Amino acid sequence: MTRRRVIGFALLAFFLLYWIPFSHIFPDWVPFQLGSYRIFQATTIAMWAVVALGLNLLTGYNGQISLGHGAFVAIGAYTSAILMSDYGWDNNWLFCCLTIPVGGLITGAVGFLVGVPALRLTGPYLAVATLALAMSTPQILYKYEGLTHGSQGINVTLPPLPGVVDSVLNQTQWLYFLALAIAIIMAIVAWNIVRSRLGRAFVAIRDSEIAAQAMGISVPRFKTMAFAISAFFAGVCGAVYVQIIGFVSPQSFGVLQSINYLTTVVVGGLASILGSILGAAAYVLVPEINGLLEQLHLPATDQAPGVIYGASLVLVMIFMPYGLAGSMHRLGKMKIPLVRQNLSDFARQIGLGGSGPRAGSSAAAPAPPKDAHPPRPPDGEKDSDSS
Amino acid sequence: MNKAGHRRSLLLGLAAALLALVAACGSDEGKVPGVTDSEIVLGQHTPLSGSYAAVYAPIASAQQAYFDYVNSQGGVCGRSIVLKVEDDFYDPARALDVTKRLVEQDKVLAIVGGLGTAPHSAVYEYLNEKRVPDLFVSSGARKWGSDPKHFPYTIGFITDYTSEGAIIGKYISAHFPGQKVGLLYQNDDFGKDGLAGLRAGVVAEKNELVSLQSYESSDVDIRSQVLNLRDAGVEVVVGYSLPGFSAQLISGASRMGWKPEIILSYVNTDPVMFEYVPKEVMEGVLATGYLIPPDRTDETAIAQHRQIMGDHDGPQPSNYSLYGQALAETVVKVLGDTCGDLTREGLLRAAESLRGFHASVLLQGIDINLGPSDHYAIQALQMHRAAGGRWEPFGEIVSLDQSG
Repeated sequence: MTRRRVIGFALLAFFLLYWIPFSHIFPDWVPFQLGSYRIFQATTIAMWAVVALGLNLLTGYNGQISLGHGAFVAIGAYTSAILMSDYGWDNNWLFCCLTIPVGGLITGAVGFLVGVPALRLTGPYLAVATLALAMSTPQILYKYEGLTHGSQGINVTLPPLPGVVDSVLNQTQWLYFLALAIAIIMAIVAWNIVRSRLGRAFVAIRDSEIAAQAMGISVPRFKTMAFAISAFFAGVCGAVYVQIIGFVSPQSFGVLQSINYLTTVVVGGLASILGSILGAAAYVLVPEINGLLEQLHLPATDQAPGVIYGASLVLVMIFMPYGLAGSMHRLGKMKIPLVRQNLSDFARQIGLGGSGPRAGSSAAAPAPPKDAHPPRPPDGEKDSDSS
Repeated sequence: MNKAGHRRSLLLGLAAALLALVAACGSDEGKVPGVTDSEIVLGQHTPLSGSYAAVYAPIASAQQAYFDYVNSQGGVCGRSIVLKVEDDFYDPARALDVTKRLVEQDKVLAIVGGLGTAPHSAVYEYLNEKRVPDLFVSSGARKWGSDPKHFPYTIGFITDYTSEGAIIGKYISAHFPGQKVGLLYQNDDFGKDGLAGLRAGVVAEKNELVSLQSYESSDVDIRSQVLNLRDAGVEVVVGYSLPGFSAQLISGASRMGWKPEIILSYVNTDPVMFEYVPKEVMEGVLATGYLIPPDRTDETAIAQHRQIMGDHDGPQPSNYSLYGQALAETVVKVLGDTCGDLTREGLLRAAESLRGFHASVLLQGIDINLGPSDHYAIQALQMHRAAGGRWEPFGEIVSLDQSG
C-alpha cells in the first residue's frame, strides 16, 4: 500500500521533473521525448491550473458563481507588468518572482472588496454582477492609460537568470519549473484549505446557508473570504502569465476569457483539486485536438471549429456530470463487470444496443448501486465511510 | 475513503495527461526548417473562431487560395508552398502558443501575415529571439517597422495608422483650411494610433481639432457621438471607425440634415459601404486606400483575382480577399528571390532587398520598397471619393517611403 504510493509519487516526479523538461537531453531514457513546445504547453497548463484552483474554491466548494475571474487575472497581471516595466523590477530575477506574491496580494484585496457587495447576491444575480466586472475591465484598462499603457499593452522582458541556474536551464525550462512550483504550492494550499475548518465552512455554506448559520458559521465572513482567496489565486496566475507570455493588453482579458475559466472548472470537475488541474489541461489541449479534427475535413468542422467545441462541452455535461475528475474517480473505482454494465447503459442512453434486462444479465454480478453513483463532490469528502 | 480508488484515479489522470502530450517527434537532421525537396512550409496565426474571425478569416483563406493557384502553376523554386494557419482566437496567450507550435514542432520556415496588434505583440519578441522571419504582419501598428535594429526579423505590411492619420491631417489642412475638425474613433490601438497621426498631420494654424468622440467596438449605437460632433460645430469629420460604425456616422449625419465633409480610414474603402448606406447619401464621402476596389471587374488584376478565388476555394472577393492576395503575392515574390539561398537568413535578406515590387491588386503607382532600415512594406495611399455607388481613386499618390 505505502510502497505503491511511493512508486506512484516517484512516477509523477519523474514525469514532471525529468520527462517534460529534460527528455530531449537524454532521449534514450524514455520511450518518446517531448519537444520544447510541449514544455511551454505544460507551463501554460500549470499557469491556468492556478486560476482554476482559485475559481474552484469559490464556485465548486463555496457555491458562488463568478463570471469575472478574467478581471482578477488582469489585476494580477497588470500589477506584475507595471512593476516590471515602470518600476524596474525586471532588473533582477528575484524581484521578478516577487511580483507574483505582490500581484496575488493586491488582487486578493480587490477580491475582498468585490466580495462584500457580492454577499447580497446569489446564483444568477451574482453571475451577472461578476460578468459586469469582466466586461468593465478592458474599458478601465483603456481609460487609465497613464498607468496601464492603454491599448498599446505592456511588453515585458525577463532579466537574465542567475549564473548557476542559467548554466543548467534555458528560459523555457526555467519558466516551466517556476510555473510548476507555483502550481504545486497553490494546489497544496488549496488542498489544505479544503480539508481545514475553513474549507468545511465553505462547503457547509454551499450546501445550506441556514444550516451553516445554525452551526455558528459566520456566512458573510466566510463568503467574502472565499472571494478574497479565490482572487488571490487568480492574481498569482496573472503575475505568472506576465512572465510566461511576456505581454499584457486589455484584449488579453476579455469577457470570453472569464467564461472560459468557469468552463474549465466545470469541465474539469467542480469541488475537486484534481479537476482544476485536468480542466486546465483540457483548456490548453482541446484547441489542438480541434485543429487535428479540422484536418480531417469533415463537413461541419471546416466552417465552424466552434461547433466541435460546443458539442464536446454538451457531451461532457451529459455523460460526465462531475467533470473529468468525477469520471476518473468513477473509472478508478469500477470493477470489470461494472464497466461492462456501464457501457451497456451508455449504449442504451444513446439509443444503441439491446434493452436493459439483457445487458444486465450479461454482467457477471450486479454491482452495488452505491459505487456506480458516487456522492456529489468527487473529492472523497463524503465517502470516508468506505475506507 | 477508498484509497485504492483514489490512487487509481490519480494514475488514470496521469496516463491521460501522458497520452495527450505524446507528440510525433520529428527528426531534425540539421536541415533548413520548413524546406524539403518538394515543399516550403510557412505558418500564420490568425483568429478562425470568435467574433474577430467573422471579419478576418477571409484574409487567411484568400492567401491559401493564392498559394494553391501558384502551386498549380508549378510553385516557387520548384517547390509548392504550404501555409499552416493556426487559430489564435485573437488572444495573445493562444497566439504565442500556436506560434511556438508552428516554429518548434511544425518547424516552419517563417511566420507570414500574423494578424492583429495584440496577438502579434505577444509573439514578435519570441520570433526575433529565435531568428525566425516574421514577414508582413497584418496589423497597422507602427511598432512592427519602427525598430529594425532590435527586431530585425519583423517586417510590417500595410501603411500604419499613425502615418495614415498624418496623411489625412495634411490633406485637411491643404484642402479645408480654417474648418473645424472632429474625430470619431474606435477606443483601441487602431483608433488611438489614428488620433495620434491626425494630431501630428493637421497644421495647427489652419485647422483646430474641436471634438474627439470615441466608441467601443462592442457598442451598438453611436448616435450620441454623432450628435456631439455636430453640436461642437465640426465641419470636417475624420472616421477611424470600422465600416459598420462609419455607416452609422454617415447615415446619422444625413438624417440630422447635417452635411460635414467625411474622411474615413482605409479600412472603409470597401464596396460593402454602399450596401450599408444608400449611394446618394454616400456621394462625396472621402477615404484613403491602396487596393484596387474589388468591384472593378474591368481591371485585369481584379478579373484575375476573382478567377483565382473562384477556382481555388477562396472567399468572396472583398477588400479582405484582395489584401490577402497582395500579401501572398509579396510572399511568393520574396520566396522566388530566395531560391539560391533558401534559409531563414536568406529569406530575410531577400525581403530586405525588395525594391519597386508591384503586387497586382495594389493601385497603380503603389509599390513595395523595403531595406535593412525600412521595415514597412506599403507606405503609400491615394484619396478615394464615393461617386455613383463606387469608390473612385483621385489625386496624387501620397508616399511616405524613405527607402525608395
